[in-house]
Amino acid sequence: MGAATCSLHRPVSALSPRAEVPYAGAMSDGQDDTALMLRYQAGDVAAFEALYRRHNDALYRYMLRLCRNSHSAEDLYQEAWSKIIGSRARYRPTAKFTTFLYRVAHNCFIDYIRRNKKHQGDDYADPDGSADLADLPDMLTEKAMLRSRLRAALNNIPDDQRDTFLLHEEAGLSLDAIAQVTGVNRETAKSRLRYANDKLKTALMDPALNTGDEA
Amino acid sequence: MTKQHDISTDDEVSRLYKSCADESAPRHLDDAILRQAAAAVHSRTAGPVYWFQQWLDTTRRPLAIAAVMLLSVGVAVQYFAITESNNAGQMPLQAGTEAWPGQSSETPGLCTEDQQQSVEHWLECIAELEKAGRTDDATDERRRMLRAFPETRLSN
Repeated sequence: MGAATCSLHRPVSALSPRAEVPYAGAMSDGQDDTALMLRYQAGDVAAFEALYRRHNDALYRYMLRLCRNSHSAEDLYQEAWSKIIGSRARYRPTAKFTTFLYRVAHNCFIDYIRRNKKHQGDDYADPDGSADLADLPDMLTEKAMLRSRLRAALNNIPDDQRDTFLLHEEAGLSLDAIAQVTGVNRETAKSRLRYANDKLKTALMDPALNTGDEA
Repeated sequence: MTKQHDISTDDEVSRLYKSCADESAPRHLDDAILRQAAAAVHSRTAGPVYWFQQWLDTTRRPLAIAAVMLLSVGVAVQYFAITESNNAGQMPLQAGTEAWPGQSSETPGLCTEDQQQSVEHWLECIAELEKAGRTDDATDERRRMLRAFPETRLSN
């Protein structure tokens, strides 16, 4: 995606919502996703590839932000897709494919948490974070700063709130679907999302709050 | 001069997040997963195990329903057999087995064989049963006695 979309100088209202959402395709067309999965079930590999291309980046980001650890995120990402592939014969279109996909991914993450009680995301490889900010053009620097603040803000909120926020933002799931994926009721999902939004809003409005988490 | 975003609504947070969330899945993972997906199709459709699993997937539900129905019918049949045999005054028995230890299945009853040899003794036994409040058993014995001694006429 274009770096310009991250500029702090541009008013949000000037941004095109469509252009801002590179994975918008993944959030819509649940019916088509189901059809593609059913075609893959029948042996059509091309259908799976189309389905995969729709969801790969969003699912990867979901895992990356949940784990806060790029190596674990890659492992879990691959594990989730392997489970989707393995469940091909048993797949029944009882829910939207996106809900099914993120439930599998969420369960992979829960298993990961259980395996590593003390999961800590201190090796999250941020491509912009490694560069010297002084050497970068203004726009890129701002993007890197914003990304860094966002990352710190996301890292500061509890796992369940981050999970809910990411399911909403990356997967585009409704509150009902989030509740289904995370195994809680709708009101709990709604409250987690509200808390997550409030905390992120506060953190992004006041950058000083995050500076201590950057180290 | 820089101007900060006005992050005043949830929608702004959402837009801000999306504007910066541009990481892509690593190419080597894409390749590995797509290869795995293709291999799964080719390997699974080739073998008999795949077809057996497909058959099992499609027939699992009807088979489960049939099994439940068979079990239900079996239990119901057994229940009615027990109820009927209880009504007839005997437990369901296999042919040729004894009703109780020492008692022939041909002459089940509560009065002994000695008592059943004569009407008088049988009536005494029936009277004892009635006295003990076992009126149903007494009625059964009376019926049995009338079958054994049809010429007997009972007064109240």
